[in-house]
Amino acid sequence: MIPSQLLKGTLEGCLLEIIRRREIYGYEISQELARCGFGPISDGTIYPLLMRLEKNGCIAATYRSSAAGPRRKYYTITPAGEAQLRQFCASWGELSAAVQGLFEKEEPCNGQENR
Amino acid sequence: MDRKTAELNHLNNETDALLQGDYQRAITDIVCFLRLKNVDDYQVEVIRNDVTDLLLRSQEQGRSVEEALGGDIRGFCDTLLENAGKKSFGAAALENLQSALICLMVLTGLSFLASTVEKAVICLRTGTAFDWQWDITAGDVATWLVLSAAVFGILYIALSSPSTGKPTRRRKGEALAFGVGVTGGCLLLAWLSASYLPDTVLRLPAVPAGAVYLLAGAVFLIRRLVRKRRSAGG
Repeated sequence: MIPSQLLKGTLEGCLLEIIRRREIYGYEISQELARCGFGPISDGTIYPLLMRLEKNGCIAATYRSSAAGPRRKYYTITPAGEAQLRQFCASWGELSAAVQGLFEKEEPCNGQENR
Repeated sequence: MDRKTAELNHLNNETDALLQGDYQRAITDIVCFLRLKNVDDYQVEVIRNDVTDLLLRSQEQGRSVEEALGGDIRGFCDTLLENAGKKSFGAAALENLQSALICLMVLTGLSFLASTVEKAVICLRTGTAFDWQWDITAGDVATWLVLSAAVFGILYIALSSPSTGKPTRRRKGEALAFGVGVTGGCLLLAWLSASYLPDTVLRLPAVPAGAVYLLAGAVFLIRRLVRKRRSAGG
């Protein structure tokens, strides 16, 4: 399971990527994340992030009625969201290259020699 | 509450009923928290709709509220608050003014009623003529002002310390002690003002004053009924 502190800065970008692929219902997002290997992430973690993205105009929500209960919220990405996603991808690329570089060039954490 | 908000409120009332036990308590706590924190009424109903949907799915899967909301309900509420739209300053000020007026009307109305009954009893006992004047003493005015300030103090405490999760024995004890303290304080205040500030500062004709109170009460009740019907009618 990925520690929540490590997820904090990246989850928003991951949500944008999932929403970019297709219009999606909130509940499906947590399933999609679990399928990609993120482990169980509660709806209580995802919903406030979706709220923030919607408030900042990065995603748009549409309500559809449901036979089983309240109206369901479906999300789509907006042009502002696509721009933010591009920015996230660039930052993530830099960060992952830097982290990877650090572990490749230096002695590994477990003390074994790098081959 | 405007029509759009009332419609969503009506829908939410129906779907909330599908939640059971801890889920029902959780949604009530979250909605109360957002309302106390001056979140815009429509925004509260939107969040209520979304969170109810989220909780219903968890309930169907047999998960706990903590699992559904990430184990930290208070933290969840705080994050909701960060992203929710607040009421405008004007709207919030108007609501506070309304609460202050209702509070003062209730206090002065009770005082008027008590004074009229007391005078009627004295008339019946002594056979003297009924005094059609309402005497307001300096003590009455002081009591009303202090009690109105206390109401705002209590509201302020409620605003700054949200109550989420199950009430513990300690919290119940604190609430009981607080209630006993407030009641004792009010009785002490009434006694002090009657003893030390008995001078009449205002004399009002009792019949018009009574008519004003009856009219205000009727307007208040009609407004409540209209709102309730509008909400129920969708």
